[in-house]
Amino acid sequence: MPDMKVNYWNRYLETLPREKIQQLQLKNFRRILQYAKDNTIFYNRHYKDFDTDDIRTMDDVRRLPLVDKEDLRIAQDNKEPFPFGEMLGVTPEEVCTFRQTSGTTGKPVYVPESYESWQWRVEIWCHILWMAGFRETDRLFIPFGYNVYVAFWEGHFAAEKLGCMVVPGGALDTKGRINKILEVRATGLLNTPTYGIHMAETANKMGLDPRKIGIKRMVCAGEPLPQATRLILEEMWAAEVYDHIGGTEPCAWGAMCGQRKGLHIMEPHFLVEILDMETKSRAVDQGELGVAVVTPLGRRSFPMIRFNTKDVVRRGKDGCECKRTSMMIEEVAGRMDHLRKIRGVLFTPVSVEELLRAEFPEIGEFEIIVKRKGVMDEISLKLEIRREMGDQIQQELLIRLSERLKIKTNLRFHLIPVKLGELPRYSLKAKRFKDLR
Amino acid sequence: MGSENKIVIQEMKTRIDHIEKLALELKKLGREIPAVEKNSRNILSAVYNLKFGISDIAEIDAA
Repeated sequence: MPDMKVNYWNRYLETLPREKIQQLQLKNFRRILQYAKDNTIFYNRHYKDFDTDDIRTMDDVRRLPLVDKEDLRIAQDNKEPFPFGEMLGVTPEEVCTFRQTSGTTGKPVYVPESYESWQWRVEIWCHILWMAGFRETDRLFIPFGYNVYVAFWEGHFAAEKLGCMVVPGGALDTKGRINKILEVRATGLLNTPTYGIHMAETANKMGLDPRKIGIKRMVCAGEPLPQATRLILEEMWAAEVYDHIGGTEPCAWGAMCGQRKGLHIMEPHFLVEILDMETKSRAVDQGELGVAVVTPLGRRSFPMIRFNTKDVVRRGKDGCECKRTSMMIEEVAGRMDHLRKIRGVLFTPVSVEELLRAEFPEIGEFEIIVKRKGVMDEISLKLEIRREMGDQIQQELLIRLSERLKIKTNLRFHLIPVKLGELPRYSLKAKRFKDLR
Repeated sequence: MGSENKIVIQEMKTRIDHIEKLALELKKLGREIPAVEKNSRNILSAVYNLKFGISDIAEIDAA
C-alpha cells in the first residue's frame, strides 16, 4: 500500500472514483466550452449550432466537430489580434508569454498563455514530476537552451514550484553539461531520449561511467520514447526513466507513475477521447489503437476544444497498481502524421526504433529514407555501427537485421552502413525519418 | 471517499473561497499600485489551480 500522503501530488484528485472523474470532466467541459464560445471568435463561429447546456454525456461531446492544427493555422493567418488570432481567449494585454510549435508539420503555431494559464500548465507538470519521484531534495539539470519549446520551460517552472533546485544547461556543449552535472551533483534530467543517449555516450568518451554520475531519474520530452529506448536509457544511466505525452497546443496530458507500465491520463484536468482512426467517432476499447482527441479543461488563454492531437495510442485499462484511478495508455504508437503507406503497407518509423533499440545494441544512430524509384517506393535505413567488426560479422548482422525488419514492418529495407559519427546528432527533436517521395 | 475526507475537502473549499474573495478585494484596493495588482493576480492564479484540484471535488460531492 503506497503512502497516501507523499505519493500523490493531489491524493483526492488522483484517486477519485471513475464516475466522479467523469462527472467532473463533463462539468468542466461545459464550462470551458461556454468560456471559449463567449471569449473567442473562432469557437463562437465553430460551435454556433451547439448549446453548451445540451452537452450531458460523452455521446453529446462527440457530436462537436474536432479542431485540428490546420484550424489553428487558419485562425492565426493574418488574423487579429496579431499574432495569436481568433483563438485567443483573453485580452492581448493578459498574455504574459507564448510558446511555439516546432513546425514539424507546417507553419509553427503561436500558443499564448496568460499568467493564470501558464500556472495551470505548470501545475500539470508538478503532477508529472511528482509522479516521477521528484522531491525537494532533487537537483534537476535541463541540458538545453529552451527557446520556444514548451516542455522544458514547464518542467523548469514546475520543478521550482516543487522546491527542486533547477539547473538550466543551455550555452554549454555536451562535455560542459556533463561537467556541470557533476559539479552541482544533479540527481535528475529532463531531456529528449536522443540527447539522453548522446550524453551517456559522451560521458563514456570522457572516461566517466554515466551510471555513477548520480542521476537517479530522468523525464523524457520532445520525441517518442519506445519502451526499448526507455530501457536502454535506464541501463545507461542506472536511473528511472519516465515518459510523458503532450504537445504545445494541448499541454502535457499523460505521464508515467513509478510503476512505469504505461501512461496515466492526467484526469480530470483533461478530457481525453481515444477514437477510432478512420471515422474518429467511436471510442476504442481497451487494447485497441486510436487517435487521441484532447480537451484541456482549465486553460483559458488559448482554449483547445476536442483538439485532434494525431497521436496514435493504445488504450489501457482504468487505474493502476499505484491506486491512481485515471485511464491509462498502454503504448504511444506514433503519430498520424508519421504513418505512411509504403508499397501499400502502413508504416510508422517508431517500429524501426523499437526493433533497433531492443535487439541491435551494436547499432547507434540511424536514419530512414523513403524515395520513389521508378514506380516503386524504396525504403532505406542508414545506420552507424557502434564498434569495429569484421566484414563477415557485419554482413551477418545486416542479414539478421534485414530479416527482423521484414517481420516487424512487412517491408524490405535497403541497408546502408555509414561511418560512426556520419549521421546528424540532435539535441531537440530528432529527424530520423525522411520521406522524399 | 470517506466522510472525514469530505469534511476536510469542504473545509479547504471554504478557505479557498475566502482567499479568492480577499485577493479580489486586495486587487481592487491596490488598483494602480502594480506591486499589489500583480501580486494579487498571482494569488488568484494559484487560487484557480486550487479550485480545480479541491473546490471542484467539494462541489460534485455536495451536488
